[in-house]
Amino acid sequence: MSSSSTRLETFLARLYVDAHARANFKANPRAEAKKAGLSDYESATLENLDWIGLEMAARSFAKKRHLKRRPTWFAALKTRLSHLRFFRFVR
Amino acid sequence: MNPFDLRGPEFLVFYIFFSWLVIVGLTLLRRLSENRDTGKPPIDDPYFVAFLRGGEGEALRVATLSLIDRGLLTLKSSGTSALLPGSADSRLELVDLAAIETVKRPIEKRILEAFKTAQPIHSTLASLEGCTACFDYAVNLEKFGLLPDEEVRKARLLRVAMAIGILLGVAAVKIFIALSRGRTNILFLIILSGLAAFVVFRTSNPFRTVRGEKFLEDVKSLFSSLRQRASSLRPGGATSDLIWLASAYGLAEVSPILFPSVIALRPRRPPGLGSSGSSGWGSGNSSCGTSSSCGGGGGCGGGGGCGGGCGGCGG
Amino acid sequence: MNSLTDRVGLGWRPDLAAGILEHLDAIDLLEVIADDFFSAPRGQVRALKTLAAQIPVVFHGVSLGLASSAPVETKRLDQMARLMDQVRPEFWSEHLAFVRAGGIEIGHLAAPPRNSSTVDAAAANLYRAQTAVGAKPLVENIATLIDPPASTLSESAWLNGILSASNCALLLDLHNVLANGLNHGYDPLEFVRQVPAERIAAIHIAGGKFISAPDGSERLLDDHLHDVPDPVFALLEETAARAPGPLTVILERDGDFPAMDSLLAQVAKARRALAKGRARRSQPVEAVA
Repeated sequence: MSSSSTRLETFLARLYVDAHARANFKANPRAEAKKAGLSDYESATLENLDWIGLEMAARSFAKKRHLKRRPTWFAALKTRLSHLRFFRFVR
Repeated sequence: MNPFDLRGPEFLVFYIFFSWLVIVGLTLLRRLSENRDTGKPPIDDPYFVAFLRGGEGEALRVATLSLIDRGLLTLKSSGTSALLPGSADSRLELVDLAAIETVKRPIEKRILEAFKTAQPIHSTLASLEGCTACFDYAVNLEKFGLLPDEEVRKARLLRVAMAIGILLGVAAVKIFIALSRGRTNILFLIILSGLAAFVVFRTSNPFRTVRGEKFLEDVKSLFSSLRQRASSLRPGGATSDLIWLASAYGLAEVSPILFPSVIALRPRRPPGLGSSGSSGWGSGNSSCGTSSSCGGGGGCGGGGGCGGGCGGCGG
Repeated sequence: MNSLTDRVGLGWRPDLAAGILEHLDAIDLLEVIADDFFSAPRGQVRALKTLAAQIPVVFHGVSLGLASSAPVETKRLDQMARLMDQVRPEFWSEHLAFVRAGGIEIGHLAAPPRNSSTVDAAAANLYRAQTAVGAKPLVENIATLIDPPASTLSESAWLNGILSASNCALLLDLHNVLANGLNHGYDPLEFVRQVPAERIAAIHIAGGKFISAPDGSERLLDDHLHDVPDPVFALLEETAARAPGPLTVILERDGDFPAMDSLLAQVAKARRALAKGRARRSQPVEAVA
């Protein structure tokens, strides 16, 4: 598939997950886009990005990532132990 | 090499290994013969599951808990409100006669009828064992191959008899050979053979069939998140969470702080470990169950999952 | 007329297990999040099979990223294929989204730029998915808080392009249609009319909430934590009036669970909306004098 599309998606993914990348991009959109290897057209369209939507989306994604993080081994062990009668206090 | 020519201690080791093989073989035979497809058991009746897990006594106790939680039965103790729900003279009484007509399930109806006037809990529930509602559950459980029916019980008995015969036979042959050679140190072998026969007897006739065990494990798996939320359930009968928790996992999983009446319902003696070849459904195995952990979630990279649903399309 | 075979079901969530099993007679089917079972122990998959034996089950994937420009990961397709083989659901569905790129996991469903390149990429991924899994997925439109940059196609044109190129059926998420319409300035009803009705096989209905944007405006977030709003039922009626084939409607609720009665009331409302739409469809067109 088009490597240009892949680069654009990678760039967008970085904007969604990295606050620093977003800040850098907002300060200088075209330069950051060019640095990421995007085409002139893509760099130009990104200058008119829906900034508000980007921030809101990034916040929403961060919340989802936080909810999905795996429990630590200790928390998982605690969950298993709490099911045993003798370890009810672990709950 | 003839195992009967082994010296005493060596033969004991051989016999232990041989007994283990017989028990494993018996278990495998039971797994093969009791796993036949007998249709789809209903998954929408919590008392069906409670009966499967712990017998008719357990089904009655869980149904009673449901009725108390829904406000249809009230706990009484020595004529005052139940400050000590676990006390020996705890009684239950029907709150409103009209409730008998409103309940859907025959077992609930039967329990409400039994407590029309204040009655002691355990003896009244014991007297309900064998009632038509319980009998229907037992018949259905046998029909779906979840509890052993007559055919299964006969097959088990036959297998047990053969296994014990083989074990005692092998021991007897060795004892005869030993005695004929002037050796009299046969006590350990006698004890071991008795122990092996006892283990075979006790492990070969569990309460549930193999299919019943699997079905129960499936139900527990479907409700595993409920077990984790047990301490957040609220009384009042608004949801059926409490009853499914009690049905699938037992009254011991219900918080006595949130549901004090559960103390009065807990069986006075430990539930039987499974009837040994006799009537079949009188006693149940109140198993601790497996802990199907939901804590980890599986591979949650990307879009969603981990039991929380799709999560919407926020981004 | 296929109103007799329209069905309404619920998303299977472990927290709703008791209520769902207690009311199996009021629910036609369950939608299971397949990703929850990819790494599940054998016992949990067997439990799912037991559930599937009681009530029709369909799978919904959330992490394949089928609309990504990069090829979908074979490992994930194999997981889906294995689970499909074990449980044999009626069908499976996935989102037209990308969830990762360049080794970065976004954490949820993101809308790719809508252009001919991503149409081709999605079609290629859908072909890979069909080959690996053995069945075509239904493809679902997603909601997006951000208007995807570098887009040259409208959402409906992009969606139509993918459906045409892949020959897949559509799982039309009506709350996503509502959210995108309100957030990005188009008429949701018009969007539903632009979608090829003969491709619509399934529908999602859900609820969301309005959240404040940094500039003081509001956008509708599709969080699946609220009741289905009336505009979604109106869209459902419209879809039922247009779709010639049978429809499978799934109510999605992921948290903040209300009483089961409330969910069942929404299921019943969905049935009424379907019936109303079907009734409009079967009304004879007045002859022009």
